[in-house]
Amino acid sequence: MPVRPGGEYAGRPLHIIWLLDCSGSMAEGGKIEALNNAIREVAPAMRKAAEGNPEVQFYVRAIRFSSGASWHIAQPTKLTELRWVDLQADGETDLGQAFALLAEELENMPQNTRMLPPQIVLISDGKPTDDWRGALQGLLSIPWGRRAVRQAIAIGQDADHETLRKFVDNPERPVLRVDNAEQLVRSFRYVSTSVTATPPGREVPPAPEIAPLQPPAYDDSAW
Amino acid sequence: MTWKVAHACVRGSSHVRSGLPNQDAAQCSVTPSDSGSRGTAVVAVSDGHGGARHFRSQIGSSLAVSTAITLVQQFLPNFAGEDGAAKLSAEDVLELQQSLVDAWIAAVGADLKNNPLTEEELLALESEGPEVRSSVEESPAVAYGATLLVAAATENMVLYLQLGDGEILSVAADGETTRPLPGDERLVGNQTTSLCQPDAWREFRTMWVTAPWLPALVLLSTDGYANSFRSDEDFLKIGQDYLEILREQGIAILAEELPEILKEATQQGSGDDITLAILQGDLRKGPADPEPAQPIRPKISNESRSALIEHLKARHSSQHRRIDELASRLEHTRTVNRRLQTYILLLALAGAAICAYSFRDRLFPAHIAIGGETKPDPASGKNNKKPSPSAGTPGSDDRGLALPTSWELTFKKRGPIALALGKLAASRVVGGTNNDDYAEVAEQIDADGKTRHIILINRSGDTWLSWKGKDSKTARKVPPGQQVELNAEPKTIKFRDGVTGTVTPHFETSAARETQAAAESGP
Repeated sequence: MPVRPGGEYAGRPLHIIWLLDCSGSMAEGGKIEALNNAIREVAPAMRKAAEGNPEVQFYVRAIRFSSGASWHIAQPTKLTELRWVDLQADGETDLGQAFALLAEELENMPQNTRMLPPQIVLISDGKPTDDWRGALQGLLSIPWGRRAVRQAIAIGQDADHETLRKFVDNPERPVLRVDNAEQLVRSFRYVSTSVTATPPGREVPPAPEIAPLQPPAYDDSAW
Repeated sequence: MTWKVAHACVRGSSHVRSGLPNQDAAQCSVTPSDSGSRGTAVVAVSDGHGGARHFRSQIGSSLAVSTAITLVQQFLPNFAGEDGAAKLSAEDVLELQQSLVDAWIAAVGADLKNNPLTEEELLALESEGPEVRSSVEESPAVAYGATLLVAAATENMVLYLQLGDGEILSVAADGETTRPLPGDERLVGNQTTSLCQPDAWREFRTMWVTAPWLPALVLLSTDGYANSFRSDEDFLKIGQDYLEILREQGIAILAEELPEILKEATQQGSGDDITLAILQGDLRKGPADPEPAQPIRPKISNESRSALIEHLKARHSSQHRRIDELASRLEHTRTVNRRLQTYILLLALAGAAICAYSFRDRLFPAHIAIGGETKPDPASGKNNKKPSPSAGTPGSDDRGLALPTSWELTFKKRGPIALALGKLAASRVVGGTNNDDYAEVAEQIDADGKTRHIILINRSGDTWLSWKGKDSKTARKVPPGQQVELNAEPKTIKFRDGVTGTVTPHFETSAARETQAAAESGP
């Protein structure tokens, strides 16, 4: 039996960070409940997809933004240890503050080849109410901010697609529009499992457009 | 003792699962020395990129190590031997970098010629985005993209070259493990510099060390190995560990075990392909070690530094030579310029002198012409020149018109003899035997300061007789010291018995000719 040179082995870390809109408008039409449910529903699917990728250590964190921004899950949490605490909706849409909080965190992450590019998923239903442009510029100027796999989901017809597109800043990754709870679950599952299913060293595939551009005219559940 | 080498290259556990080939490659070579010294050794590893557009990177990495081994084997003998390392310069290494990239591109080109990109390969790219296929079609070498890490050793030098990600570790006999090359902050996440990028040769990081700071052990690995450890410290520990394994088991046994070691690493670590190449030097602790008092191992040894200094000095002195050369050229140009200035000045003076000489009778009216040196032409026995038919027409002299500047003196059987302003005619002209002055052409200005006369002054002892025109009946005596006026009309002068000549004006300038023409057509 050969000896084992070196210290302890470990899979490569991949950080998944969710930026979640908790502004007052998310309370309308059951959107915040739909988001909480989607996360609870998708987490097991993420774990399952990650099993096919044993060399990657996935960690989840979450930032909530409304009037200001804060960590909803501050510690990098393994998928198997993820326990979701429901979000509450109230206040403004301070997306810029969320970008700034995220940028600060990414700047402190180790700059090495070992860590895989993080995934950042932004979910929002409205227009930002603070200065988000400068904060976004700051985020994209950081190596890990630039290298991150950035994806966005627009909830309902009032979502600011242009802002979300600027955050994604990649024509190959369209902003996914969702107009009801079921679409939110499908889109969120797709972006989340595509990351956990992608072997290290390969590009995460872009999500297909799965939501119709216009909601059905007489759909009571549409946002 | 000689350099010893070993390597292993395992397919990543995630590659096995997803059906990807092993995209790493490694090759080693040892050349023993005839003289019993260490000889030379080269180890090379390469990591073919994992992205979809690099779909032939397993060929690219294989070509990278094979071309590198060949080239570096050719390179090393120039710097082998006792003082060989001192000859190595930064320029030599830069040239090697260029050769390595050129050789790889040539090898890729040859492979593409034999196996052109297939439609199937290109179609598979289209799912990656619209521009991915076109970018590979434009630059097919991208399909072969790979990194390259090389360690090359002679008996008293080790040279490191690295393009792209991966790790080169230098292990001292005491187990201290360091990275001889500087880091590259661009190597973040899955990004790397590559042999397939434009101007790839500039992206190499290089360094060499010379005795007595040669490492006991050098480890080259693709990034899959370092990425398999929990932390950098966990990875760096392999230096000490491999050193001990080599001391206990020797390199042959380790070489057999190495694939298993690396397979475990990819399974429990990165999942990526892992390659490790080992260059083993002198493992003994002792006098060969650098002094412990030496706290910092110089990245460039004294020998290398002095080589570099010598090189810089040589370049410095060659620059000096160049400056000296430029200075001497400048001095030469200055000399030429000075000469030219002198010539121009002389020419100007000469021009001024000619002008002054030409107009000296105006400037110095009393002064005189000289002439008569022209040889008589025996062939023309008679005067071919006829007196101007304009004889008697208004002269140009006292009208301020242009006067002739020269005259021809024709005798019955000789001539013409040129006479010009300022010329003296010698006595021989009229049959004399010496060169005594006989006659002189000069310009005379009247007291009014305007009217000019050209005169032929009698400088001889003879008394001349002068006629206006050949047919004129009236002759005038011209005693010595007196003068005959020369103007637009021919004049016949009997200088002495038997010597009668005709002085005919000779117009040289167009202005003068016009004057003559005007005179000829006059009333």
